[in-house]
Amino acid sequence: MKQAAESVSIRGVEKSFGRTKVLKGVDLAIEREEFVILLGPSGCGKTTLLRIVAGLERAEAGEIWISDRRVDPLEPKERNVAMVFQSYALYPHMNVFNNQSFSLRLRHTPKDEIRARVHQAAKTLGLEQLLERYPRELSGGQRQRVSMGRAIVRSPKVFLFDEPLSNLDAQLRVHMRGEIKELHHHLNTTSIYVTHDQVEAMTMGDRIVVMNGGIIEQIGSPLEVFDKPKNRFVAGFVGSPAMNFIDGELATNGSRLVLRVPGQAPVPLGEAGTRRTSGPATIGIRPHHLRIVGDGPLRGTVKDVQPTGVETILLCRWADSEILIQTTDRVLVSAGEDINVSADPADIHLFDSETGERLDA
Amino acid sequence: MIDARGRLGPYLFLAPAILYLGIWIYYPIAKNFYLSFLGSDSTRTGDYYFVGLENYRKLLSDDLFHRALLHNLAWVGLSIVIPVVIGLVLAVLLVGRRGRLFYAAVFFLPVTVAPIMAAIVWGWIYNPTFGALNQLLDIIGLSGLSQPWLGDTGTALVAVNMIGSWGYYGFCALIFLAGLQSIDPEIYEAARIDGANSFQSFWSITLPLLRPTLMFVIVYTIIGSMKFFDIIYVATKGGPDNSTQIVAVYMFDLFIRQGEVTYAAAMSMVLTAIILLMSLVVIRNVMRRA
Amino acid sequence: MRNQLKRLASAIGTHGFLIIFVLISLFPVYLMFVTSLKSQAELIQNVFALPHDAKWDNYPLIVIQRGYYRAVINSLLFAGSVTIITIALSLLAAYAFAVFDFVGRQLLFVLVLVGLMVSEVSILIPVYQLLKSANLLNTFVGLVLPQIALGLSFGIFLMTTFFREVPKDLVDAARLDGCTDLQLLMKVMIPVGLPAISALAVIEFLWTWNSFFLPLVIATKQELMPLAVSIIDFMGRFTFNYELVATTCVIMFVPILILYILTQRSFRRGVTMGAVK
Repeated sequence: MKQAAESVSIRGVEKSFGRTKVLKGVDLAIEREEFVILLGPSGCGKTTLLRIVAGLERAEAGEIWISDRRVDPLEPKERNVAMVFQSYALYPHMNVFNNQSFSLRLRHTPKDEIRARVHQAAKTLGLEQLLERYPRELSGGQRQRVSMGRAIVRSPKVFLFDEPLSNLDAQLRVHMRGEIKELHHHLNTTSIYVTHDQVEAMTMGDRIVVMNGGIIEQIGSPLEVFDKPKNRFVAGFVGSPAMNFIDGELATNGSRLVLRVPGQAPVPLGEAGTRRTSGPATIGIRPHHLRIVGDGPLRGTVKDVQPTGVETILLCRWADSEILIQTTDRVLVSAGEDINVSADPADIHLFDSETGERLDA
Repeated sequence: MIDARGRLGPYLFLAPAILYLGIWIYYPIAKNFYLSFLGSDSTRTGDYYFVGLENYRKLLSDDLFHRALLHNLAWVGLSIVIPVVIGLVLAVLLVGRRGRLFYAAVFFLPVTVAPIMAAIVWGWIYNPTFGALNQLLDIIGLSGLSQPWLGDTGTALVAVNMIGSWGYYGFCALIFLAGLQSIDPEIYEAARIDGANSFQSFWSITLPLLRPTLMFVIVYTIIGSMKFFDIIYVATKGGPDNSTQIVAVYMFDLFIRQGEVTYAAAMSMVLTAIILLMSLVVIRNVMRRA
Repeated sequence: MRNQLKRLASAIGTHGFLIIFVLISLFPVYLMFVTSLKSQAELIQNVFALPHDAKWDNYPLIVIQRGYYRAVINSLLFAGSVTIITIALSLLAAYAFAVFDFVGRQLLFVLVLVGLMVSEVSILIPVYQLLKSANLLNTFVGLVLPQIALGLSFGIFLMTTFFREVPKDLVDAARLDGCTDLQLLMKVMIPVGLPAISALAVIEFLWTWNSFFLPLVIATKQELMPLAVSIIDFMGRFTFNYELVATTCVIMFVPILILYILTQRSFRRGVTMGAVK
């Protein structure tokens, strides 16, 4: 069932629905055997991009290449891509076997081969006992598996996933996440996976493509995107609870860079290095990087304490903004108290206030 | 939805049906319109010439046409008052009740009876010598009311409308029942908790939420009442003394028996225009959802 | 206790009311059946009750000696052909309306809806002339062709509403699986739409079976008449042979009754689908 994996190249793709431009020139190169996640808020264009790769939508401009073949003028069926849908999209009038073999039968594949491939796929996915069943007789997780089986029997060049897990309950979702990952290790088919769930994105992807408003904001490995967000949008979108942002004015204190915030002690940002040393800027600090220490430079008022057992989240009023502090310590503060917090300068992200671009290297 | 980008696909799929409607619906209407401006000296020779609005002028002074149109309008009114209201009442009584499928099945049975058959059978029921209706009146001691129902100019139109109503209230009931069943029962529970009694919840919940269905049934009734033919043709042929004459029967008679082709065409044109005008309401309603 | 009594009384009242309408609905049908079995003399003395001495021989008399089997066959062929062609054309058009986005879609759909409002009365004269000039008056083809047009708009409308409810993902999945348009229609949309299609089929069959106006004008030769026209023709010649007229009515109604009993759910769906949407 394994076949040589293909690369996918998306070049300058643009797409509008009526007057709304949903893709504003997207370029993306996907390596052979890679598992790439398209991540972004709803309406960012990620599903449209996936559907353009599948051939279900037409781009107004740009090209799609699968290995060395340009596919955007081709019909979906000529591209040899398979897609797993959020709603599973199983044919209600066919049993599992016929659902999985439908594409092969349309291609007049010999009967023996169809049987062999469907059974092979069923074995991989644990569906052997269900081949005679109809979709209405299956649970959500089983349907999801059938829909993946339908994709793999074809040995497609590319797998496309459109939020395949969002209709499942939380526990099953974690389980299926593992199964899809395992399947990819097993088949090594190039995959594009659309999701708005950042846990899925972080845990499953070789690379994450963060999209927003019809453009790609950042491409990188999960940890790259998390640790070095290219701009304020990515920083705020990836990670939960979301990053804290504080606006201020850059200044120097000797060779050290600080952020001045009206009515607060300056926030130390480490050695200035080659960075800009004046002008408005925004710093971003992830909630788990903030520590409660008596002499911390940030002083705020606790508004709410939210223990989850594993960790505690504090909501603080700090200058004009609200910030979150996430800690695994059992903190003994209550609403109304003032606390001091600090963060390691290495954990502070620095962004241009105007453009939102990352300022440090 | 698939963007067809100027490919032929959708047009190929549509071509047979549209071509078909073109030949048998759109072309005939256009031709009818054209014919309505023609006239001829002798109805049998078929030498037509342009007479402008002459046929329409004739319609304006044709008392029988006016009577026929009036009877059609009376039929609209009777059909809304009798079968539509009965259908609504039956549906309200049926919704959520045990045995509703049985009742609905029985009420719908008359809808499957061909109008010509209903006209024949009801003709017997109304028959003055062996009719079931007069005999029933005898049995319950109202023999004074006995009369030739279809033979009397005073009762014929209502009597013949009852035949149509008999074949129609089950249709209305079924549609109202479907409309009622699509209303979320929790709304009624909420209303009960708010203190509404059953009449109040009918007026303030059922009727407003049933409005689209009600609209459909009323417009459907209007269209049906303007164009119907079979029952009158079989039961009374428009008589006695034109007391049940309607536009379709009058036009049919002009065309088939008297050979007044162009005058009949003008008449059917007026009828078509009235129906289309009234139907615009439906189209707008449907398009809003399409 | 009082509450229970009240509820019981209201239930009895409601069912009483409903039963009156059950009787009204059934009585004419019952009358048709019993009249066909009664002699002329009995008909006048005994309207309501079952016949004392059922005269079944009216049936073979009408069907065989009077040649009524011809009309039955005509009606079956007529309603069958109209139904099949209407459904085929409706499916093709509805597929285009429901699945594609194309220039002129709205306009064409409105054109189809206009067909919904056009009655046989509006097209009678030109259709008659058209058939006459094509030498199709008094032919089976001439009977079938215009009749299809009368139900076609309804069929397209009904199937379009149904196909639009087929999940978009299912259509996309079938395209990725390699379906051409025709395969998508035949292998996915039609099997998924089978309930709606059978509903449409029974409704179209019923309408055509019961239709009278166009056949009355087009089929004036006895060999071609469907039952509806044939009965009226028969009645014109034997007005006062009520039992014979009743027999012809029963012969026309029984196939519909059987169809109705067998396909009640489809009937109900077909009638309500267009309305409640």
